[in-house]
Amino acid sequence: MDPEDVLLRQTGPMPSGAPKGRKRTMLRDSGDIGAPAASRPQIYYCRSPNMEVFTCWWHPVEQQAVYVLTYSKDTGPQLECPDYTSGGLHSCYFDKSHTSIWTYYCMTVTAMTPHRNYTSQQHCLDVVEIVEMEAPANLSVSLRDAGGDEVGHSTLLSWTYPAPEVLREGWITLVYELQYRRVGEDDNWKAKHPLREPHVELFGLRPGDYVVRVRCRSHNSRLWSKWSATLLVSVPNRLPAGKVLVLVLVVGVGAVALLVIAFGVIPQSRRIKDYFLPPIPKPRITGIDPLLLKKGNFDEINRHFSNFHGYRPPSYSVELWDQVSADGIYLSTPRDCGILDRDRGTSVAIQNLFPVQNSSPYVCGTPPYCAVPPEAFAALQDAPSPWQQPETAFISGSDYSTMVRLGVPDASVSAPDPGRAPVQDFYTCVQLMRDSGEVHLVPCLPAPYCHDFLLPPVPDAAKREEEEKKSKRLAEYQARKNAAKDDDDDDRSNAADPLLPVSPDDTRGSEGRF
Amino acid sequence: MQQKSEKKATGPRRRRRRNRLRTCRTDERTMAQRGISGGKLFITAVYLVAMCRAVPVNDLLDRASQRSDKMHSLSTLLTQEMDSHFPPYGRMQMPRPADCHTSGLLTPNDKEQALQVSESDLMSLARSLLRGWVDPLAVLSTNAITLPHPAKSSISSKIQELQEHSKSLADGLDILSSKMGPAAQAISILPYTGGTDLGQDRVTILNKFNFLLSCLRRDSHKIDSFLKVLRCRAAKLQPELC
Repeated sequence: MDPEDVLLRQTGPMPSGAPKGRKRTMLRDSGDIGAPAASRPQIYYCRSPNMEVFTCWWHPVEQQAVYVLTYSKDTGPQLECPDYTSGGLHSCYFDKSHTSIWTYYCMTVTAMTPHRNYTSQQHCLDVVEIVEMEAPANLSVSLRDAGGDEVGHSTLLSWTYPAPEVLREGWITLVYELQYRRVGEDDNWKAKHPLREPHVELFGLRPGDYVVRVRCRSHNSRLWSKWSATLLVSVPNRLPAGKVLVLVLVVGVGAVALLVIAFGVIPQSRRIKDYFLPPIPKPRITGIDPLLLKKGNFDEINRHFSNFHGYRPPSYSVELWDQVSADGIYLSTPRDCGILDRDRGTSVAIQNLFPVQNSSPYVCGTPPYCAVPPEAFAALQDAPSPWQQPETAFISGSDYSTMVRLGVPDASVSAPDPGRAPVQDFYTCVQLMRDSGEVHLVPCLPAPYCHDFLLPPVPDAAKREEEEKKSKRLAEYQARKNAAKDDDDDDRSNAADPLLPVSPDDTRGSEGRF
Repeated sequence: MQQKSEKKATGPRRRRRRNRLRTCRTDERTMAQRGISGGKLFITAVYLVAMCRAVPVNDLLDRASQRSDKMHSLSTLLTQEMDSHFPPYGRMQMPRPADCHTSGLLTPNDKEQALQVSESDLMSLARSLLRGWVDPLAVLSTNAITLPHPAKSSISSKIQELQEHSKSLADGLDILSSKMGPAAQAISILPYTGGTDLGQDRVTILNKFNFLLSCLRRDSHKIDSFLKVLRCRAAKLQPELC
């Protein structure tokens, strides 16, 4: 036999995982007939495509020889190969009747030449170890619109297994692997693995050309099949027609809307605004130019208004309201409404309704505006109650000394006259006092109402607390009534717009001011 | 590991079955309400009932075969890892199946025989094999820690994983077999007589280890194949599971 023929005839399937025998064949020198030890046959590759049959191939020797393959199953007798031809030259094909799985085959090939026999090495295998499937076939692609949220195309790749009857009974279960790459990038394969179904959908492929291939493997085998034939996939870079239409519509509607707004709405914006948000009438005072009111000079305005009774030009300093209290009296909480009897001052039970800003002492007691009939007052003198003889209270930081009386129907203060006669019909009581001498007056309640508060002054803590609560409630009621008034006062002190609508109550209340 | 709980007949599965039954019942009701003719109605009802009862078993079998697949791949990895550091001289001495402790069990030898075995017998074979590997796996596990092999920690962790998979698979198959009848419940005892000690010197220990792993690989392949055949047979209404 011509050595070249020998070389050419080593056709048999050359697997990807073939052992080193192949290399040996290629390196064999055609003229090297008498080479020692290298010229024995060798079983280099066995394969089962479906775990039912299998084939083994061997490398022949250079000389012309007759080959005999003998095998044994487990510890059974030596048997000869049943079929030397179905698998090609130098092969042995074991059909279904001769194949047992989970059994141990050991086989040797003997090359019988006229001179001597060459026996190969023993090759042992278990059929489950050599299961290698066929490569998938009919790889095809179909491009469609990606539904749902995806933009662009979705690429559906599908293939078939060339011998699907193998898969029918579950004896073999396949798992696939798909690889794809862009045409230019040769090594940048991306893989989709594992796939149980013979199809896969790829999303988000950028427009361009791709190369796709797929292979498969039996679930419980280690060996992958060969790669299928590669497929060229071209992903177009046009948006699908439906999306183009949507885009055109959206852009058109947007442009029209923009034009409408630019030419229709904006020139009429004033009218539209007036329609939806009617203007609030500006403040008007008859006789005075509204423009003056809007942005006038304060001097002018003050001049105009100065003939209003009780109008006071706004001051722009933040003045704090002090509560009217004797200097130095110190009580921590409203609970212990006892008094610290100090040397010089008495407690002035004026309720502090609003938190003071300069942490003045907090004095509690009955509201100042409860009129106490003089007899009741006299009776209380002994008890260490909050009602003690009123005395002069010196207010710190002011030029005035005011006399504050408790429970006296008249608590209205007039600074230059400390010894004023007490009882008056007009019940106004001082609540807060400022450094500059201003006082905050609140209307008082008539005597009958106060009766509840001034009943027998039992120096009992519980009763005192009860009275405290009542007075607090009353004070809150007062506070609510005065809230608006107080707001106005605060505004005035805070340099607000001096031209806010003035309520009639305020004018009355302001009569008491200096 | 986290699939372990799915194998037990606990709340989720019962609930799932109940949900399926509920949907099955509503399906039947809607079908009835549609006023189909009598004969068709009967057939549809039978179909629905069959489907309703078959679905849970299918699902369980699917999970079981996935678990057995994982077991087999683990045992294959183990063999590879053992061989990675030592030349596979031990490979040439592949164990004769008669040497494995599970060789006493008569299993089908090829596809035709396997397809002729009944479902209950297949289940029984799988369960017997699993049961027979509980002790040897424990032996492997204890010996893996002191194995004279550079990758012994990785091997040890894989064997532990194998044990867990095997345990949960056995539990699941117990439940499945209870649905399949008394023949599936029968288990052949395959005692392991190799002892807890693998040998004294390094070579012996490694050889014995390799041998056990090869037997394990073969048996896990058997279990996997049987379960896949079972799954395919049970999935008559869903051929895509084959």
